[in-house]
Amino acid sequence: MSEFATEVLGENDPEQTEKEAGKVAGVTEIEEGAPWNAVEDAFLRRRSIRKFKKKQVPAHLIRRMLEVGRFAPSQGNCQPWKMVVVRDRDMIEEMEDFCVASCRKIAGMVDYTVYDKGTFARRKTEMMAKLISRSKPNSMHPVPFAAVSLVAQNRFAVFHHPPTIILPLMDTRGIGHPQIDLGIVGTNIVMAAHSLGLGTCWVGLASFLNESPEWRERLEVEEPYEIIEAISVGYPLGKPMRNTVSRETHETVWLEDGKKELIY
Amino acid sequence: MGLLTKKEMKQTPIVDDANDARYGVVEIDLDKCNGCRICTLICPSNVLELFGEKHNRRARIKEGLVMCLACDNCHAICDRDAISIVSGYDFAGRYKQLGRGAPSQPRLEWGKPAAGGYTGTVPQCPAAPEMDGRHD
Repeated sequence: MSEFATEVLGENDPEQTEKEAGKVAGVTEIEEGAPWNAVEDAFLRRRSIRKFKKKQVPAHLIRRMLEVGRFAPSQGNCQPWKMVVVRDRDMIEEMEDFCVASCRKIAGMVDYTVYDKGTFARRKTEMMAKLISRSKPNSMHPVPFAAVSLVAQNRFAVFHHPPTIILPLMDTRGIGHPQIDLGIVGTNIVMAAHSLGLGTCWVGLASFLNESPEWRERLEVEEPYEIIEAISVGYPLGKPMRNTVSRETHETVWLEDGKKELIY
Repeated sequence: MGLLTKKEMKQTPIVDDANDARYGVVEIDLDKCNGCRICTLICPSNVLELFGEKHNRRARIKEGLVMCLACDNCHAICDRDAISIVSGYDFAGRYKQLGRGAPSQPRLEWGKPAAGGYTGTVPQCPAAPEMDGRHD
């Protein structure tokens, strides 16, 4: 171990290492049941924001978020991303209109919920939905299906009219699973935004933009980059961090001392 | 079309059929709710609405097909703690959720009840019984 590492980590002293780790989060000793520290609390209180104030976010805050994103871990340090920041309100509305139109086209083919049961249109669209669900099980999951249906009926928005949109483009030549790296860089960005009092929302339906040569050109997306997600950024309406939320506990497999336990 | 077998047909749940899809449920305490409207604005599935006379409005779940995702954002933003989820969503067939457990607030210690509805040490996924036959 180098002199520097010994000084920082302590030699063969796991207890010392744990104490040092706690200091990063502002806690000296961590016992079971100790209150959440600032970093944990930030993760527990970050919500997806879908209603923004009109006020534009200062450009320096966006740059600050991108700067935190830049230090995200990636497979083989390949950093398979390129950021596009859209702050032009008219352009954001046009992006919204384009994605709504795309949702309408898809809903026209597969959205059976708008037809009465037993009608021919219902049977036809239901069969189409089931067929596509075989080849695209993730896109045709009932939840995005419902989202597309709601957008097509004007009961839901795609980007939620934010003052700023960040498009983290993915370099398709990334190492291993570049989508994961995109998710990590995006998490850095949204958590930095949260710590600055900003609200963010991941928008998967933004991937419609990737199918359009016109939008790829307008957003400067060239090979080998792809639009796979968008992040809407703005000041949240109300106090969405007032309470924490409930989430399912999930079955966890715990393997220790040759025993297997399922805990929740 | 004849491209899918009968079994494959059953694997894709029909989103507006109660036998195939069960959505999240929220509970609203009408004594605490003051009709401030914020939950109806931020709900990602557009399932909440206001009802009642002017100056005396309350929030409620819309009638008809409501596809609540149990995100609990309404609870997070409510100034008066008047609303929160009671159960999550689930689907029959291909998308049935596995080993989810029951909804719980963040816990500092596992296996102990936490504020906001943690129901036990080993909660069962509250799947609707009529869905079980469709999962294979």
